[in-house]
Amino acid sequence: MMRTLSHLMNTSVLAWLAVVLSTGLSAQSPLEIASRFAESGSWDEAYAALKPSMQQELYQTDAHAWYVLGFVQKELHKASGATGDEAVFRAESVQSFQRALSMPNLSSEERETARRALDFLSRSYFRDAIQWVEGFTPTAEPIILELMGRYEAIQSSLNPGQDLSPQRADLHRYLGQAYAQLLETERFADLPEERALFEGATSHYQESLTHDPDSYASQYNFSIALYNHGVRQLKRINHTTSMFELLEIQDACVELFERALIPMRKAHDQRPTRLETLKGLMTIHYALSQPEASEAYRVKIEQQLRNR
Amino acid sequence: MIAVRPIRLLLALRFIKTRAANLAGLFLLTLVSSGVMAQAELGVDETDTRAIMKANFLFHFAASNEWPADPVAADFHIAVIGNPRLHEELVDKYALKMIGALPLKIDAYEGIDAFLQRPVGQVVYCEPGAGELLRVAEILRDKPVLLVADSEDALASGALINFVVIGNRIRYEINAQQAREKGVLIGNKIMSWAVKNSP
Repeated sequence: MMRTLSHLMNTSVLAWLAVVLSTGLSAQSPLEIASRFAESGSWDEAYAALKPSMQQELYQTDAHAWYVLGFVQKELHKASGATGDEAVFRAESVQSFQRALSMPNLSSEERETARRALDFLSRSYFRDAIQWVEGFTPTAEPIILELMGRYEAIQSSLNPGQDLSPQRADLHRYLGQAYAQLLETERFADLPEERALFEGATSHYQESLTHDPDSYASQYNFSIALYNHGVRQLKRINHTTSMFELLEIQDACVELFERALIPMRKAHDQRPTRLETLKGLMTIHYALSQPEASEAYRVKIEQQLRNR
Repeated sequence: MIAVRPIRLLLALRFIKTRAANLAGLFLLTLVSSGVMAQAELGVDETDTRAIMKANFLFHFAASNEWPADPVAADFHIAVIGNPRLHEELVDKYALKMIGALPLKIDAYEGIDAFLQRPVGQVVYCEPGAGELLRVAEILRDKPVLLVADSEDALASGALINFVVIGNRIRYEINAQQAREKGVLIGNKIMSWAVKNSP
């Protein structure tokens, strides 16, 4: 944020400089001045020269001016290295390019370039979303979904019929994994946050499956999240656990194991020779005290290993 | 007249440069979408869940019953025959916990023969069923020992408590009459949670 403020102060000075220079440049228009600065890669100066003038009626309907401004803003964004909400120039650039594209007088060449630039900017939103997932904390979820929403909005404006379900499914699967990994750390054992993390993991896997019902990875991970959460409860049983508590825990765990069986079977149906799903089914059936079914999958695992 | 050509050329040239960066970005995006960069996937937890349940049941069987006084006993023993993971679980969570005034010790036996050479324990869990269970029951017939099993018709083979599965859950049945005859007084809590008591 400080960087952005500092940058805006600099642009005020540059705007003044640009005006001073423009008086000595035989009264060139702000667009011409900005274009000259842009030609030499002086993006700050180009921005300072053009941005304040865009409120003038002359430029309000000038597609080329919005196109140039969008390009300058895009370059400033790239130079800033800003991400997320701090990437002010990226948001401005998107608006400028979209405004240029909404006008009929944009040349076909510039129209194509603007579309490519928007595509680049939208993908940077998606990359940002993924980067936030990699350093995940639950408070980041709204930011991640906001970034994803911007990616989708730009992509949809570029290609209205485009199916973005695969990317949406991937993002929710990554979020499910992020929540599941926080659960595995046991930092929140028996705390209210643990329930919230579990709900976060399972709800994102389910959301992922609504966008891509045939996703092997989402089915498998969903099953693991359910099963492992049950095992976590069981592992906390010790000498202080009463018989009543023991039976209650068992009821809750069996319910989770039964739920886990469904997505694990679906994953297995998709890839019947994968060892991880065979192992998953063997383990879940064992936990459900179904030794024959568990043994059948153990035999299949041995067969798979022999065939390798 | 606005000089548009230079800026168009410039931007076109710049776009060629940035296109390489865009392609790199697209490659990154493809990697992300294909899951190559996804966080490490979690695997199934291989903990023996049935061993956890059984271990806690056995601990309650030991702690909730009334045992005949044995003035020379220095420890309370649970013997586990043929189930090393159950033995590990018991050692991990219950060893040295007090059963009455005695510290709990957990003994492991690979099979029936090893146990029959040194049949020690107030609670004996026997994983093998049928004939092998009968052999263990026979040697413990006149002793106040709680023989626990996990096999079909185990109560008829001499076990006092047998684990059974009901609705995918581990529960247990009790042969209360035989327990009384052997001098083992099974506690009310244990009796009340049993799914089936013989008279």
